[in-house]
Amino acid sequence: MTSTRPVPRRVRRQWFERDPLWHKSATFYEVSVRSFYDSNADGIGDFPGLTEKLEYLEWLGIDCIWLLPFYKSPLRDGGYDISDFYEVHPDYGTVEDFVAFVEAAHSRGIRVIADLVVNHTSSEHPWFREARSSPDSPRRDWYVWSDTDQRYRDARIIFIDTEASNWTWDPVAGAYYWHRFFSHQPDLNYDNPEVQEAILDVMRFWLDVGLDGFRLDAVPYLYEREGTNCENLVETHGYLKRLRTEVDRAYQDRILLAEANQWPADVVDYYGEGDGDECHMCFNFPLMPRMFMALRRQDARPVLEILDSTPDIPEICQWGLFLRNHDELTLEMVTDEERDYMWSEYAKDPMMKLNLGIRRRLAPLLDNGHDEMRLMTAILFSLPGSPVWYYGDELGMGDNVYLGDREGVRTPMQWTGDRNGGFSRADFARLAIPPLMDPVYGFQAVNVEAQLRNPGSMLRWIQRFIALRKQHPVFGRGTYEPLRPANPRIFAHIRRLEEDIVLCVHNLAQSAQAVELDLSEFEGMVPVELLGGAHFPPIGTLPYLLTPGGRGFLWFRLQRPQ
Amino acid sequence: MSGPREQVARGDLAFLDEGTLASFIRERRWFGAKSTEVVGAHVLAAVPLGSSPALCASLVEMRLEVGTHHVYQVLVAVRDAGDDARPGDAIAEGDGWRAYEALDDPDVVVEMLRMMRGGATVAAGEARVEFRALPGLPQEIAPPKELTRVASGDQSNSLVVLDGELVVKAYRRLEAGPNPEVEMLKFLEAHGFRNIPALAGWYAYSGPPLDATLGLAYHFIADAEGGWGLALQDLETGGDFFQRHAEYLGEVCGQMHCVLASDEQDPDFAPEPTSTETLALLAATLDDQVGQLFEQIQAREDLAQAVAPVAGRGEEIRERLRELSKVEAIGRKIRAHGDLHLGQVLWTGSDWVVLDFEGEPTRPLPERRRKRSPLRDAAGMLRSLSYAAAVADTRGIAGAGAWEAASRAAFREGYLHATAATGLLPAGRAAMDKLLAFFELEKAMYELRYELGHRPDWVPVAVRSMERLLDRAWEAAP
Repeated sequence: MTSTRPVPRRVRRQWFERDPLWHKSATFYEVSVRSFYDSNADGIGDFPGLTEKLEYLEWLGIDCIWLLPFYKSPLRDGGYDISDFYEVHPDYGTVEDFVAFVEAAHSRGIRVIADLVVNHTSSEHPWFREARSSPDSPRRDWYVWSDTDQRYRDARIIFIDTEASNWTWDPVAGAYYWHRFFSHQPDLNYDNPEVQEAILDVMRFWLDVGLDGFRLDAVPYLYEREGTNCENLVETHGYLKRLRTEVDRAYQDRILLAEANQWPADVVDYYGEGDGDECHMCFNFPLMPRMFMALRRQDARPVLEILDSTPDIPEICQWGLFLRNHDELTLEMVTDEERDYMWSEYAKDPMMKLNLGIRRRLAPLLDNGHDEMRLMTAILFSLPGSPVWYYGDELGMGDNVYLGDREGVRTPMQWTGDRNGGFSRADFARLAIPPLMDPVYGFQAVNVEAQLRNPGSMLRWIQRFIALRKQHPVFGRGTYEPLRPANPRIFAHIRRLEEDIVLCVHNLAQSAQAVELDLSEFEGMVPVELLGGAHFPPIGTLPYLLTPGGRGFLWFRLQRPQ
Repeated sequence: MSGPREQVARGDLAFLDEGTLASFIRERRWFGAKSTEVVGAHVLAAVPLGSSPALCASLVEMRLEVGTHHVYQVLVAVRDAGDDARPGDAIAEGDGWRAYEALDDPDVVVEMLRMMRGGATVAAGEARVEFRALPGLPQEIAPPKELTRVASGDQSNSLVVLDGELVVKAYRRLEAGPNPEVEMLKFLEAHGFRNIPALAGWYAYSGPPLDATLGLAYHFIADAEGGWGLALQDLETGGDFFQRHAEYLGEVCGQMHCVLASDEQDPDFAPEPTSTETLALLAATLDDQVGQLFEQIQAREDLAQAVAPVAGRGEEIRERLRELSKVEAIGRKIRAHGDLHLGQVLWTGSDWVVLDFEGEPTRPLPERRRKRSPLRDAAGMLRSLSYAAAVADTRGIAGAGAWEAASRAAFREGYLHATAATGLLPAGRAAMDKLLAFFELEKAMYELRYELGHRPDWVPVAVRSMERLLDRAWEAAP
């Protein structure tokens, strides 16, 4: 049961205290190697570049980096179209560069997980080339073929802007092949035991090298069954249990993080049964659009409601919480009316829409409102789960909706106000993705160097905020107990881990609000404000009155009387 | 029948209840979270090391009120209550037995040195303790006539000296990863740097919940005097020791940096170019710390008079840090000492010896291993010379200013001489002066914060020292 490939070199040394729950109190940082830092002036970010910038991520307080796919790929879908699972894309460096990066990250106390695309490959993957070459090819059955395009008609089309069907005719093979995403991404056939083994091998290979886990891309779609929507099938869960069994058998403290864009009741199935026997983490997709909705409506109810309908999860599991990521802000898990509302409020220009979502970054979505960015971050950090931060949002970087597909939210990291924003020393024309240069969000206005110098900048604020959250494991591991004040503009809740009790109060309104909170359970305790340490009046028998400013928030630790 | 003796010899510490263990550790000077409430203690691992006396190396988790925890090394031994030898601090006593912290027990220390000599590896389940000897370890380990506990400068470890020959040091608070001290001493020795104590051996733990260096043994530097004491003596007596020997101290520190930067092949030590962010990130962190420090100062009504000379100067410091961090060339980053000051050097009568390569023990381990500009070490020593002068100043001793200027200039000259043409330092005097001033300001803040937290009596010294630094334009360094 070892990898079929020789492992190049393993990451040396154990830099972490063993902790099967590390992911529960970690801050994740999602980064595109391609867009972070170019060390060799070829216009494309790379692993040696990312290694150089670890200093920055350590300063920021990041616990775990999530890498977008870095494997060999024709890059027709940002690397989610893999043509060799065992090679690093030459643009980004070598496997040796990758090992050096993971090693350097570990020695700074930063873990690394990476995207693994298990649902499909690129149509340029040798497996697919062999499969299509002949019906007798030993790899033929590694993909899903059909003589008609009428099977599995209940499965929805995900990339509705690009694809008309989940089947595409392959003239070479003389058959239709199945693909849930782009037509150049044929789905692997998980009914074939060889495919199951092959993907397990891939996973072992990178875990052997030293990776701390995977973000499993598009997991709900592994199997197809007639008469179903081909999502969340019991067979798919069965395979995830196999992956997990292998991780538990041989790889301590490594995690599986599922990308399952589903309703809460379906997502929790990806944690598995009992104490959790599938993924350690799942993204909370339905929460994120409702946070934006709550902000625009100045009403906490959308957030409260979705959290109310989110089932409890096993002790070892954790939600991945995010405001934005490398994809569009997906609106699949909202009602039709909610989607129309979101589109009208957040995507006024049709260019901003993509599929069932909005392809914009955090700052432009919030009209570059710094109070709004801080409030949304505070809510995100206060909720049960681990925050997953998208690179560049700590600066309030913008987007470029005129770049194709989702490239607009993957523009180069803005390091300085110098040429190419300090991302690359290559000629501008050679850059893989042009940096932002508009007067509001461009690198001359928004960059790391300038924000480091300004104590009031978004970057400096986020750094302090991450440090604050890290001091209080209650945010990662404590209970979530919503308070339901009469004022609907206030989102307030209690987090509790043994003796550590935190009260979080957020004002979604643009104006100052008064709110009375029922804190009778904590009578006698003293709220101590977390950012500044100020002592507030002790909690008495009457409702506790607070008056947060517009888009303001207050976090307290409830201290027992001395 | 099996009593605590037999249990310890098996690596079973179940007879020590949580409360006993927690209060024992809480009272140790090396317990690092004194201001935080302890919720409980829990033995994470215990590896049996011997039976006479019954001994095991244990890792104990101290759970703190805010939901965090620390891991400490405790060497637990048990002897019969009637045993004539009653070494160490008692952890618990019972019917006919006494459990104690064993680093003060000569029999235990000899046993550990012998295990180093023999290269022993002791396993207990998944846990392992490895002992390793280095060339400096004597072939025969004889029981010492005398064992002395030494109060070390920082409080994160315990030191004992055997017959004035060997030092055994145990790290108390453990973090995952190799301790920089063993790593640094090994590297320096292997690359021919002689101004350090000769390493004799080390021992380390691997297994749940972490891999960590537990301790080391090295040669005691006999008949040597500490740099800090010498400086104060110099100042009090109007002596010229530093006038004569500070330049050589600078040379030794410079040579140490050259050696640390000499191996491009070893990724843990290979010098790195300083990125544009390096200084900006540090400046941002310091900027926040200035804010916190001056808030803390405001809040200390008991020290209002002592801090008055600097109390309103927070913004000035921030401004100066911003100005100083605008440096074009920074030079290279290398592994450095990390906590270099007069208290870390000894004068043997003919030479300087540099000690304590752990880095600042209050900082997390990854940070202590970080490569930095070597000028940060140099600034540490310059600051220390100024600190000694500030002590004299607050005691009303005349001539401190002249002593300070002379010894700083001499140290600096020696240091620059040793590092000239190595490419380690930024090119040009202006850039270097700026960087040194930047790092000195960082140290001065650290000093003030430390004294506020730990030694209120010393606050006037830190204040005086910072005041002198602020009043001296950085361009006029030293």
